[in-house]
Amino acid sequence: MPKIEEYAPAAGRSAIEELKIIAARLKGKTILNVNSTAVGGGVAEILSRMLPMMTELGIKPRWELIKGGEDFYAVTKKFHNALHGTRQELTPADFQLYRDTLKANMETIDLDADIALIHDPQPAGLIDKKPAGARWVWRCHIDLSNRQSDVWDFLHGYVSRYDAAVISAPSFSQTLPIKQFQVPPSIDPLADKNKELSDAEVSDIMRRLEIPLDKPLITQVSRFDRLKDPLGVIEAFKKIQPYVTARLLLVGGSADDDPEGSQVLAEVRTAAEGNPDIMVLCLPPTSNIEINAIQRASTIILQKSLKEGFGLTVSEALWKGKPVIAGAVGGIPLQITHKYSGILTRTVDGTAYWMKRLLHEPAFAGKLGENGREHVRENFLLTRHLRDYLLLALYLESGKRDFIHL
Amino acid sequence: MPEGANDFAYWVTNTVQADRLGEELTSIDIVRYNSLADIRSAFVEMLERHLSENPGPQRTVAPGREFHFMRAIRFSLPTDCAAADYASFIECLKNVSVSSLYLHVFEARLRPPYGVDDFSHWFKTNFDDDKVGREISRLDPYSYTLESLRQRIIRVIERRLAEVKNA
Repeated sequence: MPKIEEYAPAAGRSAIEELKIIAARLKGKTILNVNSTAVGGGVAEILSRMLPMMTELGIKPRWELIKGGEDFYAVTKKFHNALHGTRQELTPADFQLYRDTLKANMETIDLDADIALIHDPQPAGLIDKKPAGARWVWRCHIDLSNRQSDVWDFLHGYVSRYDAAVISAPSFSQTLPIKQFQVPPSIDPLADKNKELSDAEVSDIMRRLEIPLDKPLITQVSRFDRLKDPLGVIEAFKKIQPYVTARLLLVGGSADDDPEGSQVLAEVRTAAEGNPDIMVLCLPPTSNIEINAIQRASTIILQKSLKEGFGLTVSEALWKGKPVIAGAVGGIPLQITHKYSGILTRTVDGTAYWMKRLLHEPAFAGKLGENGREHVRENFLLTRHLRDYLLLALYLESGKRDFIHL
Repeated sequence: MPEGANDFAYWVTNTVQADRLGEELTSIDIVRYNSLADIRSAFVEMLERHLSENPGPQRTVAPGREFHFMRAIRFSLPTDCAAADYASFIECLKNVSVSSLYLHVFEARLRPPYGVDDFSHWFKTNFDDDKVGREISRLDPYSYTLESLRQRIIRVIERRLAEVKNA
């Protein structure tokens, strides 16, 4: 794992110094994180990088996992989808299974800590066993703006008893009797997906992947999922082909274990068929360096989502200084200010128009990428994320005052 | 060029698309006000005038485009930078984060002594130099990004350092 000092070139020296000063006020405090998985998924990815940094700063982080059978995860998966706005049928037995599983976990998980960050709905019910004197925060990574009311009403009973809740964007907030804090997620600038690569490394990888660079590359990196609108991307590209010299690259997973994904991939291949300037590439999930190189080799990056959680792939692209054209959904407008740090679109035609514009105006496109990178540096790096958590811990420890001088 | 001098102006211009009101909110001369209460009154007055001049059905923004009022908690913390004279002040100013500039220039004007930023106050009380303050007060911090404001202030003090040396 990288040391904190290694983040200075990306985050800035002052960001690192700030972290040290803030952490010194929390020296020796135990910060417990509870979620449902140690690998896979954004939460586990962030915790696995952030917790060693806490240790280096003199804080004692702990990480516990909630355990349950397949039936429990089937129920929490339904919770997750319902909170995201996809209608689910929940029975009284489902809610009872949640209560029973949480009760069993309370017997086994060590919840002793000064501060606890409880991530997402799966472990939310642990609040029943909050130790006296501890400060507990419910960290919600889900966009709750279209949540299904029965699931939210159920969770509300737990969440209301926390000391604070944390959400990723203001529009995700709900009516709660506790304070809600905005802490957006982050990218790790030193992870394989985002670290600096030399031109030679990029060229080598592009050669290995057989992606020609004789024309400007327009890329969308995304699962083959209807909500990422890969067919809309192809339609938009076809509209500009008579006027531009460019190649479109759609990169995603193989979707072998996902029937709907396989169906979308098949439709994408059909739409791309016979068009030599449209490439469809399936990469295994471990292809972080490859994705990094592809983004760096691209002239424009697309994220034409129709629905999105926070959409951190946008920050990953902006961090590489690339002009990004993205759907104005979920957390994307927090990452892109239209025509300043990228382009926000809502339609196929709008996406086509801006691809053409950016190809024809490289200086403007370059400025968008430059501004985007600075916006990510200030707002979406792991160091800022850690700082926000530590400040929240200090706020809760300091008696919840509005002005705090350290 | 970053848009919108304040969040209200940005939202009214880009989301509500009330162009005239948006322009008025953008051009509000925040430097003129010495307290947050005065700034709040100025915004309220502007909105009330807009409503009285535009009776009839009001625009409602689409779901998801609401203005979310957020409360701020302000943390301030010491840095390693401490200035003892003009030259070291310039050095510090080059190295501190822009949030430090925000605290000492923007927020400082809204707490006692009202209307004076921390930098000007320091030069006045330690070196009896009010020229730095006069120069800085002529900069409208709301019309710069924090980075370009930093460069401006550095230039003001560099010029002043040369004058003081030659005096």
